[in-house]
Amino acid sequence: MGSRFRPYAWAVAVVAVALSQVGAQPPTLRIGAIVPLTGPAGVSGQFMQKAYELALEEVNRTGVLGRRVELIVENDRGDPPTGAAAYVKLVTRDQVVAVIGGLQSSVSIAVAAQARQRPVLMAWTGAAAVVVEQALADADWFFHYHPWQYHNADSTYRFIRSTGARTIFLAYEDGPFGSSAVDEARAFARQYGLEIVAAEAFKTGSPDLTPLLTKARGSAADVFLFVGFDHDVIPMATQARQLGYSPKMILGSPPSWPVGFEKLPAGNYITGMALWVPSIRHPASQRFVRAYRERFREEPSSYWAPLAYTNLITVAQAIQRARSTELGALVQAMRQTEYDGPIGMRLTFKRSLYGRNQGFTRLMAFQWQNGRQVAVWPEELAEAKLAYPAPWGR
Amino acid sequence: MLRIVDLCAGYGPLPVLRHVSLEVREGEVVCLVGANGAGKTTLLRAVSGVVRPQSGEVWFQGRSLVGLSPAAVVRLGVSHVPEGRHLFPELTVRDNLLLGAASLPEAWRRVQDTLQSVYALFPRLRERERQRAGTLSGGEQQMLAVGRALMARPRLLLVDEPSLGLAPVVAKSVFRALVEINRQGTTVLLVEQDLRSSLRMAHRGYVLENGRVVRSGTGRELLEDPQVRAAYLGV
Amino acid sequence: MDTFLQVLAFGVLRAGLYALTSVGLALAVGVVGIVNFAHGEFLMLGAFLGYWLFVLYHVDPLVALPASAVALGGLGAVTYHVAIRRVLQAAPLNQTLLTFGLSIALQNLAVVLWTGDNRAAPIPYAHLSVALGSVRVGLPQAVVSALAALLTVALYLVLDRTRTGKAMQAVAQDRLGASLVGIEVDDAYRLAFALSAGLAGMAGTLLVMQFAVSPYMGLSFTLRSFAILVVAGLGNVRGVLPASVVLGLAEAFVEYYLPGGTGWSEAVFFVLIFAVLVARPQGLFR
Repeated sequence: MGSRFRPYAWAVAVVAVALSQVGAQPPTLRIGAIVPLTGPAGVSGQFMQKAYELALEEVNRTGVLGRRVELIVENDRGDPPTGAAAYVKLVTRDQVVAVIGGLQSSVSIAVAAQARQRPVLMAWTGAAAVVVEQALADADWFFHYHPWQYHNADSTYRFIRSTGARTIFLAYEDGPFGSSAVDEARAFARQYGLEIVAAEAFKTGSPDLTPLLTKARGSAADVFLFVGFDHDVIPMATQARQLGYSPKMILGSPPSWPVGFEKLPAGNYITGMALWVPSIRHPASQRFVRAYRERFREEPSSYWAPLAYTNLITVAQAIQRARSTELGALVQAMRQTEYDGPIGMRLTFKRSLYGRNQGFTRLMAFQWQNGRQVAVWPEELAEAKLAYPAPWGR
Repeated sequence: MLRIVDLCAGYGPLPVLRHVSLEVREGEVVCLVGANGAGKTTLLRAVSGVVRPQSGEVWFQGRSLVGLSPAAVVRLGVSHVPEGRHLFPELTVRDNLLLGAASLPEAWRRVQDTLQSVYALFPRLRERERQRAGTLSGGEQQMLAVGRALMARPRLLLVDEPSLGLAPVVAKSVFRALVEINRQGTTVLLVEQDLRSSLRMAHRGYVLENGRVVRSGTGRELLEDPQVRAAYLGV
Repeated sequence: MDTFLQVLAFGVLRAGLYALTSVGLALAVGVVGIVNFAHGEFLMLGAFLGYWLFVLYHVDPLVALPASAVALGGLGAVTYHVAIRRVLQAAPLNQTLLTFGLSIALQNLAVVLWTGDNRAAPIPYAHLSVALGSVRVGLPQAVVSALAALLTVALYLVLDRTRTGKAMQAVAQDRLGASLVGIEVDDAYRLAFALSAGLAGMAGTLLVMQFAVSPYMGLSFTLRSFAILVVAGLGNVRGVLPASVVLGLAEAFVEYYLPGGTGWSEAVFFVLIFAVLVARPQGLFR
């Protein structure tokens, strides 16, 4: 591995020496990003990479502290040790002023362990697992953009409450992802006056969910809440239609939706939770979608794109505000962030349950309507009304 | 018909056969005798392609057998009844027999005739036709092994220790069948520990010791050879 | 009673899917004696083939079946020739490492070619169902199960009624004996391995109708197939069908009738394997 990168490192060294001797340009300001460009989350990571590119062009139009920003993107491949090694490399060899990026919780934990030993400004987009929050509880240099799991849950039940539904059948995959959702489910449901009539675990990857769906139909709950991964959503949606299972709402919140789900007839009227969808009614979001589309000739169909864009822009603004790259000053400047960006909700950093600097704390809801993710909640971002009860099969 | 010249063979670096030469003429029953570990089985295996010779020549009807796969050797007309029989235990007796011919287009064309002649030779196999081979008695399994080899319509039959583990009466009937097979025109190269019965039915014989041919002659000559009698018959 | 019949139907349909994904593996284990950990990746490649044919050329997965059988069968033959053949005499651990490595290599190749995304093929009839009296079953599942039964029975017929099939059985039961009756053992192995891969490919293509396609989809099917093989008796191709039925029904009934049972279905599986290995290591159906 190391030997493969050696020629590249030599090239960098030669160029660096040449530049310093010429002394023609002020040194660039280096920011490191750790992103999974390959592996299970590779697609989301590639959305991030493109959004960073977009943000970088914008930042370098004016520069920061009179210098050009250089973004060094490291691929963590969804592999914790790779992510940890990338952090060390960025901080020691590249001497970056801030580390941004981040997607999976598992990688985040590995990176956190390194960051505690060599802290720099860490503006982290990823991880929803509370263990990451706990691992970095007292770190005032850690700024977290993505909502934590309990924020997700809070938004989910608040949204369900807003529809007028009263009862929920909760189906959750029996791994860490689903189990953590069920732990807090009853408390949140109670808080919003909802009743979970039954909670049933299933095995992720199971090709046949018909017994589960038949059980859910028997419960006659208003809402079928499905906590599974993207590959589970397909048999769930398809088999629900086969069985003629028609609750008032089917709500799923996989980390991402399968490619092509929009074309699945059985997917119509299924509802989901997300940090962002392209259809929200918000000027900054619409500007971002247009710019992304023009630059890359494709839709920014994942919320990781505007999140990464927000990430780099706000870090650059904070450095500018701090007028220094010294860590204490950067932290102070980050805390003053007030950014109305493409996500559609104002970004500020506040204390969370364990953490010091938490960014977004709310998800929005959308419904698949005729092949599009239509924003339906909260009202100020909604593009159209939620079809409730869902007119299945029509 | 079969001519072996200066053959060396073995397993790994360890030689078992050292410069063995022998000959089998058309229509003969030739018997190969010797103690355990003398190299008799290895010799048959080297002929049928199961073991690759280290050096030397093996000629069958003017064609070299060295380097051929066992299947290719069968196609040339040499069938090998291996020690331990190596039947297909889960298949029926009939299927075992049919498989003896199934991979050889020429034999397959005449498979029904051959099957009937094998049944004539071993009527017990006809009775057990639908039984799985694994459920047969030892003697019946030996008959099946010989029958299966005959299904290929070989010109030369290599038979390895047919009497091993069989009651004397049963062994005798197997030998009788081999004589009958030879009478019908198939040349036989037989490896046996039972010297008396095998040399009695053989036209000629070779004695192997430590991988070398130490004596040869007609069956009668060898049976009467005092050294052979002392070494192998305990007389 | 209606519910009972409905759950019974779920179990039977699931059994069809399991049989289809396992029978090829049973053939490889039974004839070649190789525990092929890359079986699930052959299935995955068959699924991608079906997916792309559908998405790019609107070829229905059912129509794509022959293409998938040929393509994966060919890949199986090549795999045998290049890799498997060389470890036939090696220690079982080496064989396992080889097929395991192959599995990871194919998985990563798929990630490089098509990313790690889960993909849905919008098959227009995927969500339809057919009613048999009071019992309602999904159309794709019914089709898959029918084809599974058909392919499995066809394989049994090939093994039992054709000379080639008999030769494969012979090779499986006694390699030396088979070579001495003129069977080219290498050819028989190659054919069995190609058939095994071809069956996996067809299973994968059929899965496109009701399941997400991704480079990682193979593993869960490989694991289930191993469980079925243990219950059937390792290498016992004929036991695959009854073993699949036992597991399909057991799972469906536990999932429906036990409170919280959906999470327990995996346990059913492994309890059964455990019981079989302890009480009847040769398999339930041998």
